[in-house]
Amino acid sequence: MAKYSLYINSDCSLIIEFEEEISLELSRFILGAKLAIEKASLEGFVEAVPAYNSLLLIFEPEAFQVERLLQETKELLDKTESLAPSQSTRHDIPVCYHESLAPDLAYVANHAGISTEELIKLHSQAEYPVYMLGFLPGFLYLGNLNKALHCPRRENPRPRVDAGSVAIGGDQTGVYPIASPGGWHIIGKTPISMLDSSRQNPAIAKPLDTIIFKPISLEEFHQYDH
Amino acid sequence: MTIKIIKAGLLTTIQDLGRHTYRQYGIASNGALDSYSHQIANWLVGKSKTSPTLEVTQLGPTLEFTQPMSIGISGAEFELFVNDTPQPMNTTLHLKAGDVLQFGKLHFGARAYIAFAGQLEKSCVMGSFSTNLLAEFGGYKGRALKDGDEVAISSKTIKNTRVTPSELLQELHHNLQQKHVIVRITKGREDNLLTEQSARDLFEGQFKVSSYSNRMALTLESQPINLSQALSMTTVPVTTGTIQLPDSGRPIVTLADGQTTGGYPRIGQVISADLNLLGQLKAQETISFYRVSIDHALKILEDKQKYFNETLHS
Repeated sequence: MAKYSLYINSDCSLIIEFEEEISLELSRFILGAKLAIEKASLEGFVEAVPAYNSLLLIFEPEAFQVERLLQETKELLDKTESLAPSQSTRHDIPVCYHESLAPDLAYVANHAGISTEELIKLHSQAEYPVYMLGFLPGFLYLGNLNKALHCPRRENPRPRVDAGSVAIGGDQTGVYPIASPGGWHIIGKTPISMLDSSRQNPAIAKPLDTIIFKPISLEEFHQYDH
Repeated sequence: MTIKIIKAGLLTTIQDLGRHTYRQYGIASNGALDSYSHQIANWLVGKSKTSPTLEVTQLGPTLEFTQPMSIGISGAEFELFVNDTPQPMNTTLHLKAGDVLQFGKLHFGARAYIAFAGQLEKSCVMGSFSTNLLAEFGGYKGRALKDGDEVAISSKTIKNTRVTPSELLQELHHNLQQKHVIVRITKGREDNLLTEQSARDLFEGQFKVSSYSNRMALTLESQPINLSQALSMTTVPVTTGTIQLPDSGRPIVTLADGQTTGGYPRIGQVISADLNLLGQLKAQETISFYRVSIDHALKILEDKQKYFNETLHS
C-alpha cells in the first residue's frame, strides 16, 4: 500500500497526497482508491479527481462532516487495492506529421540533433500511459516521452493552437483537445476529436490507458470528416 | 415562441448550477458565477434553483419576446426598460407578445440573471444547461449569445408577482455597492510557504481585480507576495475558489470556468458561502481576504442558506 497523508482541502473537499515518486504503480493505487471511494457512497460525495500524486475528494458542502469523512476515507484507503493493469485500454491516435500541420517539427528535431524522420519514428514508436486529465477539457497528461525529444517550451506561447495539435513541451507530449493558447511545440495534428460531450466519459481515454500515435499521410488526414 | 436577441450585450450565456462530476475529465463546473442571484431570479418566476437562466455581464442585452412570458431579474443592479418604460429588478415582470426588454446603465455589481417562467427548448449536456465557452458545448450552441440569435422557449405567464425581500438584497449586496468585497478564505495546501510578511500582505492588503479577469479566473493586481521559497510543483487538482500564487506574486482565483488543475502554490481557498461574491467583481474593483476555520466556513454557509430559504419562502 502506498504511504499517504490525508488533508482537509476546503470546506467541501479532502485531498490525499502521496510522497513517493510519480509512477504507474502509484497511479494504480490512486485509481484503486478512487474506485473504492466511488463505490462506498459516502454521504454527500460528488467526485474523486485523480492527479499524479494526489487524489481530490469533493463533497457537497452541506454534507461535509469533516471528522467522519476523514475517518471513513482512512478506512477505505487502508483496504484499497491497486487497479489491475488489465483494466487499461490501448488507443491508437492517428497523427499527421506533415510539415504543413507541424510548424515546430524542424525546430524540435534540430534541438534533439536528429532528422525529422527520426523524430517522427521516436515519437510514434512509444506507448504513452495516461496519468491524469486536466488543464483543458479532455487533455491527457501522458508519461514516457523519449528523453531525446524533451524540449523547453516556446518562449512566446501562441495565442491560439488548433484543436488536435500534437505537441511537445518540456518532458511531456500531448494533444490539444480544443483550440487554446499554448506554449508547446507543435509537431503534428490528429484528425480525430479528442472530446465528445455526448459521452459519459467525454475524453477519449482514462487514466492508466495507453496512447500510441500512428503516423498518417496528409491524404489520409484529409479523408477524415472534420 | 422565441426570444429574439436584438443586442446580445457583452457576454450573455445560459447557465444553471453547473455540472459537477466531470473535473476528472478536465471539465470545470461552469454555471452561474453568482448562484444566489441566479436562485432569486428563478424564485421570482416560481422556478427551482436548478432551472437555467441567462447570465448577463456588465453590458446587458436587449431582448424581444414573441409571446407572453413572466420573467424575473436579480443580481447586479441594472436600469431596466420594457418598451422604453423603466421597470424594477427583483420583481416578477409579466411581458406581452412583442415586448422588448432592454438593459440600461449598470449601477453596481457585474452579473445579473434573467429567469423565465417558460422552459428553454434545450437539452442538458453532461447534466447541465450551462455553457462551456472553452470547449463550446452546452447552453446556446456552446457559446455566448450573438445579435440576431433566437432562443426557443415555451411561452408561460404566472399569476403571482413576487418581490425579493429587501433585507435579503441588502445582505447580498451591501458590499457590492462599496466596489470592495471582503471574501472569507480557508487555508490553502501550500500556505505554509507564507512568511510573516507575506501573510500580512495577503490578509491586510487590498487586491485590485485586473482587466484580464473573466469567467475562468480573477487575476489580481498587488505588490508581489513573496513566499519563503520557490516551489516547483507537480500538477495538482484545483477547484472553484482556489487561490494560486504564480511566479509573479500576484494571486489568481479560479472561477467556475477555470482550469481543473494548477501548478502554483495554493495559498488559500474561498469558502463556499462567498463564491458568489467573486462573480460580482469587475476590473478595478478591490477584494480583500479574511481567514476563517473550516468549521466557521461551514457555519457561515449553513446560516446563509437557512436565511436565504426562510426569507424566500415566507
